[in-house]
Amino acid sequence: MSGLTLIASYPKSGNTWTRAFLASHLRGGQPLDLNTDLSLILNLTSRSLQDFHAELEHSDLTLEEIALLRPVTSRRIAEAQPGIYKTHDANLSPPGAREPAIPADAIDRVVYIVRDPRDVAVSLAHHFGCSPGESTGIMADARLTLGRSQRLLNANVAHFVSSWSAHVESWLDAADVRLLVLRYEDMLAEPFAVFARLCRFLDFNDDAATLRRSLEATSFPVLAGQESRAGFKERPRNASSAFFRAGIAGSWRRELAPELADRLIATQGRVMARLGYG
Amino acid sequence: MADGYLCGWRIRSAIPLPELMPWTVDERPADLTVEIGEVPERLPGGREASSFLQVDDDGACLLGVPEVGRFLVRPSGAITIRPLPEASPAEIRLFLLGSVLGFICHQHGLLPLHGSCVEMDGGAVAFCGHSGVGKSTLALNFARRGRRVLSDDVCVIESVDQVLVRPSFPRLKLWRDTIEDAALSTEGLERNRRGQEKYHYLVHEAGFREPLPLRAIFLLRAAGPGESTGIERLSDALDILTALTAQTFRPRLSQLLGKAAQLFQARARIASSVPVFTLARRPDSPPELWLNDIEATVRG
Repeated sequence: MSGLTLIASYPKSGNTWTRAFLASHLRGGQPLDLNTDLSLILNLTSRSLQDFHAELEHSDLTLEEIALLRPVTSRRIAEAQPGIYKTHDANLSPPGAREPAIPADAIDRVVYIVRDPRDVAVSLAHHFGCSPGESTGIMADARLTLGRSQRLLNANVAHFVSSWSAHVESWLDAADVRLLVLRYEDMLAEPFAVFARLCRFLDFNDDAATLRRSLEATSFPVLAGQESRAGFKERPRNASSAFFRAGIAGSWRRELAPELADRLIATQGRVMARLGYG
Repeated sequence: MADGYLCGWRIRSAIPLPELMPWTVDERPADLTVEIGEVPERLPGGREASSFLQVDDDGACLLGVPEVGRFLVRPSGAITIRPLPEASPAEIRLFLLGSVLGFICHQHGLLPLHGSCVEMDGGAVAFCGHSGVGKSTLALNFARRGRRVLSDDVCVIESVDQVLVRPSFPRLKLWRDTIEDAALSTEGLERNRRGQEKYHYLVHEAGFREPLPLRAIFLLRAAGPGESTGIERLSDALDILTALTAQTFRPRLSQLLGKAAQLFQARARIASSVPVFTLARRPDSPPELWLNDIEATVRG
């Protein structure tokens, strides 16, 4: 493997669960400490990682400068520290940049995780501590950039996410990239089969006994239990509930107002249909 | 314009550098000069040292910051800046007194650590760590206790007979929340970058112009959930060397300039002669809680 292997997704789509699984699986299905072992799959937009490889403090740069810098840094990380990384970057050129933050030539392969946007809207509202109406609006924002706070330092550097539909299609239709698309709903419904595919795609051991151990070590009740006992450092401070909150598919039917579900279909319906979210 | 003091160098500048203490040391000619002039986009024969930075075989460095301008730093000490019309004076000085200062250190074989530094009982105490870990906030709190501020971003270390910190200037880069938490105002302060709620806070009364022996280094980090907080001394020399390497400002540049061995020696000397501590604290705990512990630790 050379270059960056990405676990890419729109936020709140199952990325952290996948990282937890891989972190356990890489160590033979051992139990996992959420607060230390996820570092086996670093966040590519982590400020300390980006500052280190860019040899610049991103807190001294404007959004446009960061957008120009990120592809250069991605290539450097691909060369100096190749491996598996999580990211919420869209595969799109941010405003002011000539290429995406992670250009295809820095990428080895991509696992793209997608989740029904109606469930994403509910989860995102809890994560950001905002209303579902607001999260639905965020998901339609084609200019959305996360990690950009001008008021205090974010643990991540600025990364261009765009709208839910643009994010999904930017990776689904990526040219020159080896891609595996996983639906969160399928991961929940058939974990063994889907995670086995994931392991084969990454050239990891897909031995059934190890797979089962890794899945048990990172099942939703295990992760949620660990968070409630010890906390989880990646949970935002203004989140209105636990990071591992529900871990189910279809809770939007109870938790999302029908008009918001309709609004999502109106704004994201074409891409939802591509993924079978009817 | 009076010449300024920067890490023991006499600097003569065509642009005002209000951060610096005036030069009063001796009558020597200027060691460093800053001029506004033409700077090419590419350094002839230059190699890409890192993002936005080229270096040539003579050791000249060219930094190009897309929305600020270009900075050419020759090993002779001649610095030429080609600012963009929209760049603010504070933005130009941010890179001149940050990245460019780091280049000058590497050209001279001095060790720049990424950290703030304050005076304590006749010695220097440095605070290193990632962006956002609280280096500048600690320095601000110590300044408010009447301590001198030797540096904020780049702590310049000379290691010949003993390990000395060369003071840079008493300017702290602080987020609005930190300033307001300290019951200070952002009024009249220059912004770090346009539109950003991060400001340049000058504490002139805390300035200092004499190198001081390095008494201790604190490596700051955020304690995660379940981790204990507190100060611990690192005992293993290899751990210390690894940590100091990680805290070196623009480390790849020292390799390109052929100064890596000199920097290694400086770090090894620190590891063998200066106590190095880790300070783990909760990200939301006020830094002033640690001031007494830090002072007590330094006094041993």
